[in-house]
Amino acid sequence: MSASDIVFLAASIVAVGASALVVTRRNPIYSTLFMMAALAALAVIFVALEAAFLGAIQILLYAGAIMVLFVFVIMLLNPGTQELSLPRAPAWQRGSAFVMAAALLVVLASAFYRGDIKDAPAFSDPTLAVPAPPPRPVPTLEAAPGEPPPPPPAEFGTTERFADSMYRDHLVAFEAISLVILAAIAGVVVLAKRRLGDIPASARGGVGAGAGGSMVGAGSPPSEADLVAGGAPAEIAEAGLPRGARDVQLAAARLRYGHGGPSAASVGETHKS
Amino acid sequence: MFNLTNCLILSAVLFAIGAYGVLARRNLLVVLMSVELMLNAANLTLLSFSRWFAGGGAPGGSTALAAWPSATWVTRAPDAGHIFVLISMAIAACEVAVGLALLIALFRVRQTVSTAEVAELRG
Amino acid sequence: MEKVLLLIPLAPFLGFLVNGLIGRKLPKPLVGFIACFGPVLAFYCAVAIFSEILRTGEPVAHSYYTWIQAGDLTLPFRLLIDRLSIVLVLVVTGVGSLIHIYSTLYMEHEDAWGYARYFAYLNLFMASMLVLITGSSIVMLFIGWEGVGLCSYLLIGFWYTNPDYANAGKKAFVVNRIGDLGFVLGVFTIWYLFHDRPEALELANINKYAQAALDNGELATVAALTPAALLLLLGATGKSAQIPLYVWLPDAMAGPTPVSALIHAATMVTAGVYMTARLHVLFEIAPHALVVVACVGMATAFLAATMAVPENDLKKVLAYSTISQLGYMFVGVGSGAFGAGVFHLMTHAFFKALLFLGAGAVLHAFDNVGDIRQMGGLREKMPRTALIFFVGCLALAGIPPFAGFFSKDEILFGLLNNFLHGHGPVWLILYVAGVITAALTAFYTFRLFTLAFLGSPRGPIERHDHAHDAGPAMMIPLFILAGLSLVGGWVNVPLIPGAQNFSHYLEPIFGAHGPASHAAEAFGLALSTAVAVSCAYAGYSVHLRNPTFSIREGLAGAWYQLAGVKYRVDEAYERVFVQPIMAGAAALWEFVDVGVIDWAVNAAASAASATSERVRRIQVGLVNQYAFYLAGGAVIVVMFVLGLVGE
Repeated sequence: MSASDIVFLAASIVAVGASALVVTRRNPIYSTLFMMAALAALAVIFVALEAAFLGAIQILLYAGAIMVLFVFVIMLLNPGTQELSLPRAPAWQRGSAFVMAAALLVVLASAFYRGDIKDAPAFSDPTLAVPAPPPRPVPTLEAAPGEPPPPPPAEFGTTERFADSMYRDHLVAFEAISLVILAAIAGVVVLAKRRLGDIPASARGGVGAGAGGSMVGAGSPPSEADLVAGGAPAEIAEAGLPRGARDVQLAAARLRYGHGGPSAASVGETHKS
Repeated sequence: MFNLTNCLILSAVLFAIGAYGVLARRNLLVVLMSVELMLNAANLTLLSFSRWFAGGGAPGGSTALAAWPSATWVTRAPDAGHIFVLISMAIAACEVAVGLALLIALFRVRQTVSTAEVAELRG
Repeated sequence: MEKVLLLIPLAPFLGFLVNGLIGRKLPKPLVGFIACFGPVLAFYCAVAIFSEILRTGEPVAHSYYTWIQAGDLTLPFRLLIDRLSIVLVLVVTGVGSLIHIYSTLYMEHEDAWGYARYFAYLNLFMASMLVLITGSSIVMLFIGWEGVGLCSYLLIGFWYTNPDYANAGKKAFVVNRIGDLGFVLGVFTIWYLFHDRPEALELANINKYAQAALDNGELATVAALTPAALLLLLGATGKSAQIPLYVWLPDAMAGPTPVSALIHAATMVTAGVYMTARLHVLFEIAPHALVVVACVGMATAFLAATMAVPENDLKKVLAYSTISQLGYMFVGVGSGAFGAGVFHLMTHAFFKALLFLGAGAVLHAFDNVGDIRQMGGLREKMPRTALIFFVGCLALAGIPPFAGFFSKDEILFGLLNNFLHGHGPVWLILYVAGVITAALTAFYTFRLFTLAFLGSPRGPIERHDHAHDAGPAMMIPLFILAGLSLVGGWVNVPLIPGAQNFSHYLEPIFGAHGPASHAAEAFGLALSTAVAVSCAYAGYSVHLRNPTFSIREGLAGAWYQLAGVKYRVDEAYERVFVQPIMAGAAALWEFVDVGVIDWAVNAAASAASATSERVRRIQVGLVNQYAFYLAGGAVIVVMFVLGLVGE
């Protein structure tokens, strides 16, 4: 049991345990937090696999950006209400999912448990040591004959080596991925943009009222005068409902049936559906 | 303990757990997270093999290349696995962003993130 | 010469094409001219070929191209005209041309499309009939056979908007078809017997091979010739309206009268007689075949004559008369006197066409009313028509010196001759029946003439006043035919030595046939004349005094009434054949067409529909479920790739 073995074992237990908890929690915030734990454990394993740069990127990007994005969205959708903590799926669905997952596991494991790699030595074994790169030549002031030769590769898994190979051998992939990111940005902006008549996050009662204004594309919530001018029946204004909930009902009704103002009863029904 | 096989088994387990999450959970957020989990499992596989092949260049450790003599990319592009993983992470980020944007748009209309309640595209 | 030969069927056919395709757009006189041009040209060519045959004594023949080549069957498109067929070609083209000219005036009331259609069909008929006569193989004959059957259907049902007329056409075609089936089976039998010999389907070769079979003592082949001959006879009964397939001819009077004259008196109905005369060796050699032919002919002649006596429609009397005279032709052929049968064919063409065209003139002027009970005294208003009609009646009744006398008498004498030569008592019975039929013929012929033209008018007087003789286009052909009805028989006068030109002319084909004794022949002549004249006078005088004469009491009365309803043969056929077939067809339609075929098609459609109804339930719209299917598919694929499953 070398040090790397212990590290690997601990990290893998954490990863498996955390991911199991991710998929079983009812509250999505808990799922997010456990996901971050799993990702961190995976980052540890990455570092053990001589991929230091990628381990760092895993923390920065995955755990630090993607999961935080999840948190943002959950907050935007106002956790704790009924819409987010959904009931469990029925037993037959969970059972069949478990069976299918087990089948996948068996199939993949049988793919990986091949004869030629089954009894591979551990990564700490000297036979699998990553060769060290040759030392860098010291640059001289003399005129170099013709094209200078490319410097020898840096150590395996470092940032320098990664940048070397990416910008030299895999430049096209790099450019392509930047285009993909651009497209994703454009798409996200268009999809998540607030439109007129949407339920504003601040109009809903509870936590997050103030956060609505800072959202991308946020507009101001419609005022009561706007709603009445838009043809909402006067009964709603007098119904004595809390202001936010009333606006929510009206806006939802308007989304569904267009401007014209259904009666209070049908608005109440649509909200329940 | 810390060898290629166990790494791969670990990634298979994570993949299976992610698959369970996609199939069994109704909360769209959790489904998206499970998809991320599956992507991470794939990344782990890629890095395991990258390490495995990188370690096969030593004079005494030619077992890797002996096992897979057709893996010529090992000499031509030894860092391909790492590059692939970075690309995969970037794509995952884009995918999560777009997915969450869709989820927000959906929520605005339907006030729900349950997959069971947005089944209008039925036959 | 071969171009002239080809022109005989080709000229009318070209007329058919022109009138059929563009005749609608041409002015009527032009259509009529084109239509008459073909037959007249064909007649001219026939005369040319006739003189060639007389000059050389050899038939004119030419193969134009090889039509069928299949295994050991070689059929050239070959036309052949010999002494026998030139007679028919001249009759068909000559009388046909006259009828075409007559039709140009008769059909003047039709619209442009009907006029063109009529003449197109008529020309097509001429072409088919000429192919029938000039075809050198039995298959070529059958082509013409079918063609004339088709044209008969088209022309009977010419005014097809009237369902009765259309049904008459249909009836003609269907009954003809039954005969055609017999004909085809006969051809198959002949082929089966002779197919290993070269060119077995040539008409001349059929005769030759039959003779060879007899000479070589091939008893099985000779015996098998009888069914072949009888099957061909069945075809002939269909085409020539003999028992049992005569029922279409009276109904065929629904067509225009010139059609009745041409097709159902002069030409098409003689095809059966021609075929039998052509294959005379076959019929002679096949045991008992000729006797059957004669008996069928005589029975038909007698029964048709009885049915003509009480008939009251002008054209239908002539129709039954045609059936009866055709029976005479078959009797003549059946008695071995083939030349006599052909002679009667020729004279009958003259006077029956004359009578039909005369009837057409009456109908044309009489508002298309054909009931002779409503006529009477037409002689005053239509004197020329009455004259030519009288000539035709004299010829039909067999009164000398008109044409019908000579030919009918020759047939009767052939029967008597057979009996006197000791061929059996059946021939005496047939002779007596023939004489009785001649008596009936004279009787109803003059009944018809008297009721139509003599006496005082019985119908509405306006129609009477309107009656008039027709224009020259109709009268000139009538006079020509009247002349032929007078002199046509003079080519074969018996007893006068050297006057039997027709028989001598046909001798190279049929062989010599001397009479037994001059005394018997003179006896026959005297008996025929006496019977004809006396019964003609009887018919005239009885009906002049009592236009509504009919027999009602006693056995004769019962027979008269039964003949009046045509022995209910049509009704019997309907009950026995038509209705079971219709019921069978309806059952087939119900159970096979609707029950099986439609059901299968509908079942396929509803199976597809039901399957898709079930399959579409997969699409539930739940993402989790779709992912489940995805994962399942992925598992299966990976298992295949890894080789865990699969062959």
